Amino acid sequence: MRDELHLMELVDRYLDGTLGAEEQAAFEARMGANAELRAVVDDHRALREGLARVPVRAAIGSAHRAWKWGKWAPKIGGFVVVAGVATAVLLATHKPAHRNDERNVPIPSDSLPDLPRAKALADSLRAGTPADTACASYVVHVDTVVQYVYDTIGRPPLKGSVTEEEQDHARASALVRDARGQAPIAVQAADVQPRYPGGFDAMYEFLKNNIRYPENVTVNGTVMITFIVDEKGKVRSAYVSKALDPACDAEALRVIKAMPDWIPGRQKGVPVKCQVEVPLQFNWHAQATEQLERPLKF
Amino acid sequence: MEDERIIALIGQGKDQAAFKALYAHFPKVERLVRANSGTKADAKDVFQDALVIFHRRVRSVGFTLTSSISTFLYAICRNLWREELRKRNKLLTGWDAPEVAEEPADLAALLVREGEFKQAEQALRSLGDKCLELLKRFYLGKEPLMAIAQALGFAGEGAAKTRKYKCLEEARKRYRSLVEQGNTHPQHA
Repeated sequence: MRDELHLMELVDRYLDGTLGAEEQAAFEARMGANAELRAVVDDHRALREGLARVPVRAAIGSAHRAWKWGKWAPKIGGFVVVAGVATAVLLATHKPAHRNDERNVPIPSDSLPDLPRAKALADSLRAGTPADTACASYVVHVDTVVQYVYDTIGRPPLKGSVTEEEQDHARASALVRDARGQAPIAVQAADVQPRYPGGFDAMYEFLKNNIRYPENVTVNGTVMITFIVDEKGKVRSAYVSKALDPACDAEALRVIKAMPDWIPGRQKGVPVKCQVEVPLQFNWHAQATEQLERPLKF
Repeated sequence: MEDERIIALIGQGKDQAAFKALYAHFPKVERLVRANSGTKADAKDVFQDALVIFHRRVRSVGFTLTSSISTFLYAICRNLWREELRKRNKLLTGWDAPEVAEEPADLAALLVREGEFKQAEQALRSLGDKCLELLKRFYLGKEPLMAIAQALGFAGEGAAKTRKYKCLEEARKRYRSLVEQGNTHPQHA
């Protein structure tokens, strides 16, 4: 390991241009004689460039959302029929005591919140800190949900069939549901919540790619699947905690059970079983069929 | 917003403001992509890739604007989308996008290089948050390893250095595999 670390430092200093004249000449001679070393240096060069682009892309994402909001503003408040969307949100487990906490901004369940209010809700959640950090969980895994709302705006679940406004409404409503604390009690205390590998984006991708919307079903609603992520990260004991329709329930259960292993939650560094709930929203608009190139498939 | 002002904003590091102004050019790109077998999502991806490329170009040493930003962005998007269609084997249907007279001469080479950097970017973003944070702080923030170790909860400078090595190696592995897959484009849903 010491040699590898030393080489890494050399490559860093070479690419920074901070090697002395002699050292640089010696390193370049080594590179000249060693194709593998040249490849390593080229790769590092590319990785530095890639790294520089990460914050740029994040700024572009923010600008995209800001631009969209600017376009949107006149439309907020209008009722929108949501079409063909399935969304999934990671919910951390939740201790009932927090349910009446004033951090939960009360929002009527029958109103479909628009994004500015969802944002206000997320911000207020973010501002609060859990009273007892040793307790089982937080009301909502705030960062994850907020990240979800901000990062998935504009991401199409179905090409050509759903408008972005409809997606945003679906997601804002998911956010509100989470905030009102629908999750049951944790199985064990965990100071680090279990995580899908690659994070929330990756879980969304997986569900999107694997869910098969049941045919001949035109119901709207949410299926809630509760499951345990055990100490090894395996998804276990998945069950339908809130049903919608037998076909939708079955499909939601199937796709959750098909998920790869998670990174388990931890309490003081030790992996523990954690309970997770994922709501999957099924919405269907009859018009969507003729616009799709193939049967409804995420 | 005038082109010069946008470029000045990028120079000052006010990226988000610059990008928001640059979004004025998106509708034209969206029309181009949708007129050529693309979806709204494709247009967004192409446009955002173009913005990254544009940003890096502006920040590169010796940059001067030779055409309008509009034509520059359009030229990038047109080429990016065409290449994407080629990868998806969808270039068979008619290609309807007017060539822009002022396309920069080195555009093709620029896009090839940028394609590689995008793969590196993807490899890095697929790493865990801690890895990415460590690398960002070290290479972009120029923070010393000791400070990074403290901020991210590593045992010490040595632990941070070892972790940095492992993160970089993992990134390199993923980058290499993306490059290898480069010619066989995955099935697009």
